[in-house]
Amino acid sequence: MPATFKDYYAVLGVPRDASEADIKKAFRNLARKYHPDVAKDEPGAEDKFKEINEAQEVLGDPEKRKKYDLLGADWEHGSQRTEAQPGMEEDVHFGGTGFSDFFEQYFSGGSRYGFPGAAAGSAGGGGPQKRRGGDVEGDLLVSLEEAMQGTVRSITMQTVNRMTGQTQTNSFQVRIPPGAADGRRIRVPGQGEAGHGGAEAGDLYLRVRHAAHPDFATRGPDLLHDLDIAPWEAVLGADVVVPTLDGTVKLRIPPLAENGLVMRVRGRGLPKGKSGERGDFLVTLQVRLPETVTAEERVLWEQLRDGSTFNPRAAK
Amino acid sequence: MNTEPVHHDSAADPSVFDPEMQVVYSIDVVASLAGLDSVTVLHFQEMGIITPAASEPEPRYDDEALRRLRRIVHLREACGVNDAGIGIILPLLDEIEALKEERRLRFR
Repeated sequence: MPATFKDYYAVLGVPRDASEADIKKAFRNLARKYHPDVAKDEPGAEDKFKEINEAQEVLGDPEKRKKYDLLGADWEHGSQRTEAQPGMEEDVHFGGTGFSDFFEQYFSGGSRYGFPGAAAGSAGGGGPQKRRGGDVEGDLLVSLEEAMQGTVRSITMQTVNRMTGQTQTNSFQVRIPPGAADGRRIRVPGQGEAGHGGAEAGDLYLRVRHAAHPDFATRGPDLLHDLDIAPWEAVLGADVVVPTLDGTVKLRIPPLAENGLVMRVRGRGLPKGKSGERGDFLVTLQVRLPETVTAEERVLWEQLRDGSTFNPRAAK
Repeated sequence: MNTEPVHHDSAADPSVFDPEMQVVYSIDVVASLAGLDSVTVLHFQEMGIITPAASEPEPRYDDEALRRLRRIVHLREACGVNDAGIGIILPLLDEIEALKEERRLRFR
């Protein structure tokens, strides 16, 4: 099943020599524009959002980007470079994971370490051996909203036997439980590599990957947010209404808040298991400076400079 | 991303595989799922390669432990690696995974 080459640079609208910062910025802008919450009624927005995420997953990671750049060069010369997975006697293609076939083929999994197959390394030679099928691992792109509420995914898995070319397609549905953390693996029994000599099939491990979100990130069950604040808000304190994944919270910034201060709102992160308990919402304060000043503002800053006793370089 | 959010009370459809959030197994069950005996599981636990998810009142193992045991079986049987080798390889795989994770988080 040849996957179609994806031009991730075009997806993000950046040149091939774009800096990491440019890529991040392009991603943020597009993710904000096509985020399912924002572009609810726009047809195709959801697919676009997935595509942007996938591009970010590859181009945002220097190692993957390097691989992608090499791949791109190869691809144009027409040499189909199939990623060898020597551990498997079968090639596996996924559908319904939220990633494209192209991504699946070259960038997914991350933990198929290429163990040699039993045929290559088995100690006892000859004879049909009874051997359990290997476990198969794959990634599942899950938006933070889905992670929050839980969802059901239809997965299709096509296995191609390397020797015979025989293909077999399996479809099944998997429930993603509410609060499924990034990196969590969901074990689907019996959906791995077929067994040999009548032995059981292996299992499928689907690893949850949270889609990048323009406003939030996660760490375990905690939801993270960077909040930009003005210098006077940091110094004088302020009440700010901050969006979360489910509504908003009112945050009281204390006076003399340091840049980088992390404020914790308990119980507004992702669910933790079935207990109803939830992780926390962690807000990191980022003091922003204005990019331009008006004449009036300049006067005020000058007054502050002349009247202030603050010396950031004073010996402590 | 293409499905309606589903809440827990609709968990009736039998065609949907419903993973339990925190499933744990006794040592006998995890050993048989991995195709090992429980003495071997204990052996790898003593080597520090397998850690039970809970140890009181009895050791309980989760799907991550099962995945590691399967990996051990694969390394032993398909790759002919001995215990000393497994003691080196598994921690290396862990470290690679942790580093990849760190790198992924750094660039988002």
